[in-house]
Amino acid sequence: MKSNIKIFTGGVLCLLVLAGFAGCKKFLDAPPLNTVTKAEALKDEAGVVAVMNGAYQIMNGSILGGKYQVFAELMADNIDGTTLNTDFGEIYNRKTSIFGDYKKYFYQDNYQANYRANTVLENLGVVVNKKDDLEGQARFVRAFAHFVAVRLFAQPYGYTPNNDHLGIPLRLTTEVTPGVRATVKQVYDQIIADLKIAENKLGATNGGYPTKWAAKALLARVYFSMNDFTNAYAYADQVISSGQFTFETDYSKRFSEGQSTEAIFQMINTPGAYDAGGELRSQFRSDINLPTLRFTQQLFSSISSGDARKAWFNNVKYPGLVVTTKYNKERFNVPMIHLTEMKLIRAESAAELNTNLTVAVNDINDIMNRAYGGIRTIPANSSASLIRTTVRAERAIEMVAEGDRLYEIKRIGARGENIDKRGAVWNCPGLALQFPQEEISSNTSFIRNPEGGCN
Amino acid sequence: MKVFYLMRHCLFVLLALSALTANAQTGSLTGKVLDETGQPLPGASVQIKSIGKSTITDVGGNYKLTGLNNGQFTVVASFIGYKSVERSVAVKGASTANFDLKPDDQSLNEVVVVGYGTQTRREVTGSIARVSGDKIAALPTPSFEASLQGRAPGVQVTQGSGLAGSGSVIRVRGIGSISAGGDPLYVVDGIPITSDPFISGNRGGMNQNPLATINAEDIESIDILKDAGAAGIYGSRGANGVILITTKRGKSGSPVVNFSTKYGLSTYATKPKFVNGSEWLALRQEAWTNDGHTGLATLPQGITWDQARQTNTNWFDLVTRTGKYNEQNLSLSQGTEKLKTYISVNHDDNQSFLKGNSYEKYGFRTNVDVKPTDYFSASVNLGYSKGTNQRVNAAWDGGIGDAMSTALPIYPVFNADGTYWANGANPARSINYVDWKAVDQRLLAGLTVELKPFKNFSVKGIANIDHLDLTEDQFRPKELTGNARGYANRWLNQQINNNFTGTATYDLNFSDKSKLSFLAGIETQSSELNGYPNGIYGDADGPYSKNQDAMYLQMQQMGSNLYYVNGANRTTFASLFARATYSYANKYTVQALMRRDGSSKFGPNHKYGNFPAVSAGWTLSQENFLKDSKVVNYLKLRGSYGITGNANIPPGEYYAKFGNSGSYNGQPVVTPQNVENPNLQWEQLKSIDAAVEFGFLNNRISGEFAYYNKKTSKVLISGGISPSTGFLAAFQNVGEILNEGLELSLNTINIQSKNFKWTTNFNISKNYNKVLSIGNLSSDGILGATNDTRIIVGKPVGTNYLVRYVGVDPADGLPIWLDKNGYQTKTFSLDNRVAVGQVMPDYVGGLTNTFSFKGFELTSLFTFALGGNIYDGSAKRQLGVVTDWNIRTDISDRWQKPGDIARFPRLTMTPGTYPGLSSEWQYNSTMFLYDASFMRLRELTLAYRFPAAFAKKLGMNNTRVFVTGMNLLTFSKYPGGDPEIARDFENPQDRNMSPNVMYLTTPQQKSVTFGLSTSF
Repeated sequence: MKSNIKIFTGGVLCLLVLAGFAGCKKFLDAPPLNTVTKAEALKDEAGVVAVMNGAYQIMNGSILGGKYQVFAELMADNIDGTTLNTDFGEIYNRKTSIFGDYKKYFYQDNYQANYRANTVLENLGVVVNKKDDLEGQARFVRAFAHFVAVRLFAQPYGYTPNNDHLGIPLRLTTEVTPGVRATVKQVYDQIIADLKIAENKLGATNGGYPTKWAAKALLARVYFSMNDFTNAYAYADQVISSGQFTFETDYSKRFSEGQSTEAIFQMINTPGAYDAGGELRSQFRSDINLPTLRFTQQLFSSISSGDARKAWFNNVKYPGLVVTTKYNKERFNVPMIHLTEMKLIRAESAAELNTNLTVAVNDINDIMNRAYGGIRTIPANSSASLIRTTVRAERAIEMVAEGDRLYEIKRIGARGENIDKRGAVWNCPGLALQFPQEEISSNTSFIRNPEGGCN
Repeated sequence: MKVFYLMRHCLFVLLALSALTANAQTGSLTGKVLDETGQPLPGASVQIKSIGKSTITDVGGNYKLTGLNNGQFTVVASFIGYKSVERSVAVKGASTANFDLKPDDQSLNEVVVVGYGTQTRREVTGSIARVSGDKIAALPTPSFEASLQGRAPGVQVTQGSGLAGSGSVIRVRGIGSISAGGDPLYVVDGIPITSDPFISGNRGGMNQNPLATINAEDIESIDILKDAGAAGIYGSRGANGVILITTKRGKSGSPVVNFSTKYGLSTYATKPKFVNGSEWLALRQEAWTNDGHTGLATLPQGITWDQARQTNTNWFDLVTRTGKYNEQNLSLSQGTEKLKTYISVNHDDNQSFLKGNSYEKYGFRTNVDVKPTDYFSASVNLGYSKGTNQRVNAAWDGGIGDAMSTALPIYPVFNADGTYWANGANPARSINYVDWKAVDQRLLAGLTVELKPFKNFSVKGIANIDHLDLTEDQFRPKELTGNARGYANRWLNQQINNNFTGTATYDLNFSDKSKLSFLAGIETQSSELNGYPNGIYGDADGPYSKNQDAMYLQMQQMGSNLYYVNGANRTTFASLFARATYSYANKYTVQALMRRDGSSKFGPNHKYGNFPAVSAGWTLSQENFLKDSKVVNYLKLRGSYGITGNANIPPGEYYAKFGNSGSYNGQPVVTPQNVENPNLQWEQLKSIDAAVEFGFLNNRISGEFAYYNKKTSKVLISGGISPSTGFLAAFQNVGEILNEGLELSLNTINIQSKNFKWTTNFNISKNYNKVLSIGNLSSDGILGATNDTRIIVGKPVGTNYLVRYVGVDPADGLPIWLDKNGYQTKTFSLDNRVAVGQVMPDYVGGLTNTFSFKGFELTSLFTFALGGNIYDGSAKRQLGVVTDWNIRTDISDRWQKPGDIARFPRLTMTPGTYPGLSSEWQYNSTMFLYDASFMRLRELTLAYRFPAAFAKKLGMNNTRVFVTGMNLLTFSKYPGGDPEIARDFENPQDRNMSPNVMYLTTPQQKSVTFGLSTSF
C-alpha cells in the first residue's frame, strides 16, 4: 500500500510540475525494485559473497546436481539405451547436433557459473575480510566450469601430441564478446593455473565451500585426466595424507545429508530451502517410479554376487530392467570429489609410475575390503600391472552412476587402449558434444565439432 | 469515500433544480417515438430547439413535453443510429405528435471512441474498426477477445485453445515486432489495462490470460485503432494497434432491468486420430522387424507384451468430458439528464471439456455519470471480478498433452492392486491427484471530473487504477511425489497499474462551416508487480489455500529463499500529447497529433520519444457533384501518416541488473540477470493508411477499402549473444520489418421487406509481411523459442525453416530430401534447412449473414484464414521415428515393402535409419508442414424476439430466446487436430513468431448454448 501512495503522489507531482518535462526526471527514474544495479549489488563484501553463492547454486542446479552425471553416463557404456529417445537418445548415440535444449542450457548454465566466478574476481576490491577465500573459491569454480566443458565439448587431452586441437571458449572476464575456441592445452593450462592459486588462497576448512583440499583434489583429477601421474599422485597423496577425510565403511553415507566423512567437495542440501541433486533423483531414482536412465545387464552381471556394491542396483522391481539405487533418497548432498576417488587416483598413478606400490595396494585393499567384506584383496607384493588392472576394475564399479566412466574411456584411450564396451573408438567425433547453435550463430566463424562417427 | 460525498451533494443540487422548474404554462405535447418495425424506442431524445426544451422517451417510447405556449414549434426526434426527424408541430393545449425513425446505416453522426475523447464518424480521419458489444457477448469463448474473430478487417484473431480462460493472439495489421510484445494495447474506459499473458510464465502448458477477467456482457462496444492517425495519440504504445473497450453506461429514461442467462454444452471442435493399442503394437513390431531385429520388439516403460495386448486405453476419452457452461447477468440502467447509472452483476461458470478444468467468475460493475450543472460533470467507473480457474496440466506438461503423446494405449490406468499405474505417463493419475487452482481478482476503477468553465472549453482530470491479484495454489500429494509428504506451491502476484490523465479541449468555431477542435493532455502511468517472485513452496500435506497455518510455518522455514518484492518490473511513463482537428463544411477534415513519451524502460541516452501523425479526410459525397446522386450516398477518402512506437520489453534492460535468487548453503544468493545495453530505445513504426469509405444505393451497399504500409525500424530483438558468456540473449535495436496490406469490408442489405430482411457483412484482409533487416544477427540466432520458426531477411516474421522432404524412395523406403541447392539427397542434414513456409496466413476474414423474419433472426458467422502454414511439432513424434509416443492414423500411408509409393518412410525405432538424423527432435522437415487454410462456422444463432404486446403482458420488454452454436463446422486440410493454433508460449518472441506451430495444443471447443434475455 505504501508504495501505491508513493506512486500516486509521484504521479500527481509529476503532473503538477510537468512543465518542460524537467519535473518528470525523477518519476521516470523508476527502475524495477526486484533487481538492483551491478554497482549496488557489488558494493560490499556481502554482495560479492552473494554472487559467489550464486555460482554454486547454478553449478548444482544445472551441472553437478545431475546433468553432468547424466551426460557422462549416457555417453559412456553402462546405460541401457534401447528405449531412449529425443535429447537423451541423441546423447546416448553419440551424435549430438547443434540443437537440443538439455545440452544448450547445460552449456550456458555452466558458463553462467563461470561468469559469476569472474564477477567475483573482478570485484575483489570491495572485499575486506575474505579476499583470499573468495579469490580461491572463484578460481576453483572457474577451473571446475572450464574442466566440465572441455572434457565434454572437446576431444580429450592427449588427442594430439601438443594438445593444440580445439577446446572450448576460455572465458576469463565478464566481457560479452563472440565465443572463440582456445586449444585444449590453453584450457588445461588455465585450469591448472587457477587451481594452483586456489590451493594457496583457500583455507583448510570452509563451512561447506571449497577448501585448499578441494582444490588439490580437483588438481589430482585434472592431472589424472592428462595421464600426468606424477602430479596426480602428488596431489591425491596430499589430500589423503591431510587427515581431513576418513575412509568410511558404509556405502549409504556417500549420498547423505552431511554424514559423509569422505566428501572433499560437495553440493550442499539445505532442507526446505535448497535441494541438491534434483536431476540425479529425476533421472536415476528408482524406488518410486521407473526411472528414464537404466543400466545394462552386462554391467549388473559384471558385479559379483559377493560384492556389497551389488546393492547399488535392482533388477527385480522392474522385471528385465536394471536400475540404480544410489540416489533413492528424498534428499542428500552430492559429493563431487570424495576420498574413494583420491585413493583410486593415487593407487593407479602409483602403479603407472611403478613407485609407492605398497601405498597403492593398501588403497585398493581398503576399497576391496569394504566391497567384499574381507574375502577378496590383492597381495602386498602385487605387481604394478595387477594393481592397475584391479584399480580400473574397482573404479568401474565404485564410481558407477557418478559420471566417471566416460572420462576413463577417453583417458585410457589417449594412452592407446580402447576400453569402450560399445565398441567405439575413444576419439570418434561424436564422443565430443556438439556446441549449441547459439554459439555458432553468434559467431559465424565459430568452428563446430564434427558429428557422429562413433558406430 | 469522496466519491459518495460528491454523489450525495449532486443529488441535493438536482432536487433543488427540479423544484425551481415548476411554473405555469398551458400547452403540452405528448407522443411516441417508434423504430422502423413499429417497436417503441426508449431513450430517444425529443427536442424543441427554439425554446431549449427537451426530453427523453421512456421504456414504452412515450415522451411528454409540458409547459409550452400554444403555437407552432419545430420538433426534432433523434436516437443514436437513427436518422433524426425534424417536423413542424402545432401545439394547442394537450397535443400529440408521433415520430417514426428510420435507421441510419451509414450514420455520419455515430460517435466513435478515438482515445482521450470521441469524434463523430464524419470527422474521423484514422482507421478505426468498431465491433458492438452484442457481437462480443454472442459467443461463449474462453475470453472476450476471441469473439473479435472475423468481425473487423485487419484484425487477425487466433484463438488459443479450449482451456477455460485461455487467451488469443490478436494481430492488428500484421506483426511488426520480434522480441518486444506484439499484442495491441487494451484500454477499458480510458484505463490501459494489464493484458500480459506471461505474469505466470508458461506454467502447466498455459499462459494465464488476464483478459479473461473482463465480462463480455458489460461491453458496449470495442473500437480498434489501426493506423497512426488513430492510434498515434497513444504514441509509444500504439504501434501494435489499440483496442478500446467501452463499457455500458446508464441510459436516459426510466429504470430498465436487463436479465440474461445462458446454458451450454461443449466438446472439442476437432481432434487428431490415434491408432489403438493393437495397431500401435503392430506398428512397433513392424519398425522392430524393419530394423533387422527378430522376435518381439522392446516395449517402453517395462510393459510386457502380455500386458500390452490386454490393454487398450483411450486416454483422450479419459481426460475429456462434455463441458458445461452457464452464465447469468443482471443489470440496471437508469438515467436522467443529471444522473445516469449502470449497475451490473454477473456470474459465469465455464466447465471446459477437459476433466477437472473450469473457470468460474463473479463480476460487479457500476458506472455512474453525474452532471449537476452545465459546467461540471463527473463519472465513476468501478468494475470488480473474481475468477477461479481450476487448472489442469496441458500440452508439454501432461493432461491432454500426454493423451496425445506419451500416454500410450498399451499403458493401463491402474495396477492389478487398484493403485494408479505410474511407470509411464498416466494423465488420469495426475488429474486425480493434482489440486491446482488459480484465483484472479481484478479491480478496474476510474474517476473523471470535467469542468467547462466557458463555452467550447473543457478540462478533464482522470485517475484510474487497475489492480490484478493472482493467487495460484498447486498441491501434489504424496502419492505423486513418492516422498513422505506431498508438495505445495503458492504463487502470489499483484499487478498494479495507475494512471493519471489531464486533458483540455477547446473548440473554435470560425463559422458555421469551419471548426477547429483542439485537445492537449498530460499523462503519467506507472505499473509494478508485487509478490513473491519464487513463490512459497515446500513439503506439505495439503494445498496452502486450505491450510494457511502450514503455509506460514513453511514461510518461516524458507529463510532467504522467501522474499517479497514490492515493485518488480516497475515501469513508468510520462507523456504530453496534443491533437488538433480542423473541419470545413463537413467535407474536409485535417488532423495533426503529437505525443511525447518518456519511459523508465530506457536509459538517459534515449529516455524520450516523439510520435507525430497527420491525417485527413474528404467527404466527396458532400460535394455538389455528388450531393444529389441517387447511386452514391456516401463517399469519403481518408489518409494518414505517422510514427508510433513499441516499448513492450521488460524494464531495466539498459543497465546490468542483479537480483535475489534464493539461497545456497543457507546463504543468500544474488545473481546477474542480463547483458546491459545502454542504447536501448523504442521500436519505431512509420505507417501510411489510405482508404475509401462508401455507401451506394440508399446505403444498401456500404463499406470500406483500405491500404496500409507499415515499416518498423529499430526492431527490438533479443538474441545474438554467445552462450559461453553465460547468457543467450540481450535486447538490441536492430532490424526492419515491412507490413503492407489491403482490407475490404462490405455490408449489404440484400433483401428488405416488411417482414423479411437479409443482410451480409463481409470482411477480408490481406497482409504481406517481410523482414527487411536483422542487422548483424544471423537467422539461426533468432528462434521462436522451442519452435522451428526463424527470422530471415526477405521472408515474413515467423518463417518455417526446415529441410525439404521430397518423398519416399520406393526401392528402400528411405526418405529423400533436398539439399540447400535443391539437389536430391538421402542424407538428412540440419544444414539443408531453408525457408519454406510462413506461420501467418495471407488472408483472414469473416462472413456474417443475418436473416430476420418477424421476430425470428438467424445469424451465421463464417471465419476463415487462407494461406500460411501449420508446422506440426507433435507430428514429428506422432508420425516420425517409432518411440514411446502415440501414433496418428495417417501413418497408414507408409512404405512397407519395395515398390510402395507412400507419403511416410519405412518405420524404424532408430533415428539413424534415416541417414544423418541424430534424434527424433531434429526431424524438422516439410513432412510435417501443412496448409493452414481453414474456414469454420464460428457462430450460428437462431433467436426469437417475443412480440412487444405479448412481452408486455408478462411485464417484460425485449424478450429474446436464442440458441447459439459455436465452431459447429470446421473445414481444413490439416489432419492433426484444430487448424487454428496459438499454443502455450514461452515469451513474447515465441508469441510473435510461432502462432500456428502445433505442439500438443488443446483443441478449441465446439459448443451449443441456449439463452434468454429480457428486460423489465
